[in-house]
Amino acid sequence: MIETHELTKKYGDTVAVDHLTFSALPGRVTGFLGPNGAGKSTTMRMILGLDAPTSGSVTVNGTPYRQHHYPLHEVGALLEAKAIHPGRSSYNHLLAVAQSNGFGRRRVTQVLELVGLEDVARKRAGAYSLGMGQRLGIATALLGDPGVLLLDEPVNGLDPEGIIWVRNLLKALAAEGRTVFVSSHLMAEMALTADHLVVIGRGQLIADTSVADFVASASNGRVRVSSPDSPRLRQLIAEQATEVSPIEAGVDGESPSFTVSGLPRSAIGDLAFQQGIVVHELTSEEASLEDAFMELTADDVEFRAQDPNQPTPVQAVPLAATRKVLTP
Amino acid sequence: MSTITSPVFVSTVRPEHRPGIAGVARSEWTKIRSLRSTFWTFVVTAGLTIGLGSLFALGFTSGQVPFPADFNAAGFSFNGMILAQLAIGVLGVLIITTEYSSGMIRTTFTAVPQRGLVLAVKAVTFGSVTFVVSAATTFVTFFAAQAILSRGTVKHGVSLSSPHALRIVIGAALYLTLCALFGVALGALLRSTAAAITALAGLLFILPIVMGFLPVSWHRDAITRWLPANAGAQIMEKVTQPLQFSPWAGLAIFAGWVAVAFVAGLVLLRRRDV
Repeated sequence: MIETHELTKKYGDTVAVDHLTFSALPGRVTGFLGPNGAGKSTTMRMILGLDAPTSGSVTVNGTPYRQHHYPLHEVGALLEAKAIHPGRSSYNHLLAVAQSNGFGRRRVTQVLELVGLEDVARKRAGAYSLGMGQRLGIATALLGDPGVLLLDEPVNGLDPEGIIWVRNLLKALAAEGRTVFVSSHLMAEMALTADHLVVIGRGQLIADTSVADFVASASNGRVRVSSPDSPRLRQLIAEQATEVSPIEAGVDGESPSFTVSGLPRSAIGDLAFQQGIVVHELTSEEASLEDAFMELTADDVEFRAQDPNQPTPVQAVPLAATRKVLTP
Repeated sequence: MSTITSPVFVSTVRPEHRPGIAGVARSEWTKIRSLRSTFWTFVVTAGLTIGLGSLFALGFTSGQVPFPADFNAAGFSFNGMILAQLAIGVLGVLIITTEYSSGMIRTTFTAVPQRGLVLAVKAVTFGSVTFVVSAATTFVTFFAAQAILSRGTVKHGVSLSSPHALRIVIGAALYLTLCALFGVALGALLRSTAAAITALAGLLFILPIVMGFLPVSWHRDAITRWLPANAGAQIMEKVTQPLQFSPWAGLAIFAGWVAVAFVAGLVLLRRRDV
């Protein structure tokens, strides 16, 4: 388990990480999401005791990282691909890391097979592609078979097959009861991999919520209704729904349509049936994680969404869910 | 939010050895031996010491210059070290700065968060290897140079059992080892390869030359004898020169320079972000 409390990092006047409080729990993949420069890597380095926080605290399994002794058995990390001397082979790189914590050649061979690098293990790492570098970084993180894994942008530079491999690997590792904390700026990838999201922008927490809630909060429960008799249906629905959009003309012979908020699909369908109105479409407008993310990080005001005194359109929805998670 | 029903993770992988300082030393040894550049730098250091030492001996015996009365035959073997000291010092720098330039240092400190321990073990491991290679080199150099100096009618070469010879040969190896550790310390302090090599060459090589051109009236000799290379090189003198430290005092002063750089590096290493 990883826990940060009011974690803050300042470089001069620049605040890279701003009073960040969240937990990454065992048994699930926690996606750490934010645009480039949001403070993800700085947070990762503070978790691992590489950078010292300006204020606040962070622990891994209840202990500040630098108080851990030989922690590879507890925590594994991938911070950057190809963080290896270009003249050293991946076998010797892994062996050096393994030996520092008491592991040996047998374990090195195991992780090389696990990531599929056994054929190039004796080659100098300078010739590796970015994808091979990522696999080597994942192998390094897995050396001690740790219960907590931190991976910074692990799918960067991987081919589609590699991306699927990482996705399945992370899910499998979490299913074994491990804490898997993985950062990414690729929202679509996180939608497929993560169970839980910690979203930051400009160093501040924007959301700490499940993937499903995060998407739902952005789509706002909108339903698209299309009917040949749209004007009459729209009028009937408007009496019950909180918000109804203007009618859009149908394209390619399709019926005109409009969107409804605050009324479930079932209620809309029942209403149309009772009134004998033909309905051609009745679909939930699910925002993608990407849409949700863009909406949340759209501008400066929304970065302060967690401030309850600051009424913003975003704050009302996702953060109610957020608070529950913060006090597990 | 979601109830966690997944199992509590229990690792089945066990370390082969009990984690500890021995493991960190094994790790650092693996790092040293797994780079071809380490091997070649040792070869260059040995080659420069043996080759130039023999060459200077050859030049000296073939000349018409009369040998001085207090000729230091044993110490004369090690003239090639003026270049070799830089080669081994640069290797010391690279041992640590390449970890910074590649990003490996983050993996190293993630695996062993006790940074001071890592630096100390790195220095001891690399220092030990360097001393073994240096000692082998200085003994070979001594015998090669003495064989050359003993040619002809006037035999100036000395044996290992002659006064001070063993101290000079072992002292030369210690001097090279201190140059290597000076590199490690400066590398840890400055983190950048270029900066650390510049500092190393400046302190060992350039500063003594620059100081040599200063007016004597500026207490030049009283100051220059404190410089790392000047003080350290006294270990290779047969008799203590005027205005210089005695052999072991000189070497201790060089060791003091290395220690100060090392402690400064250690303090910063523990405080700085990596």
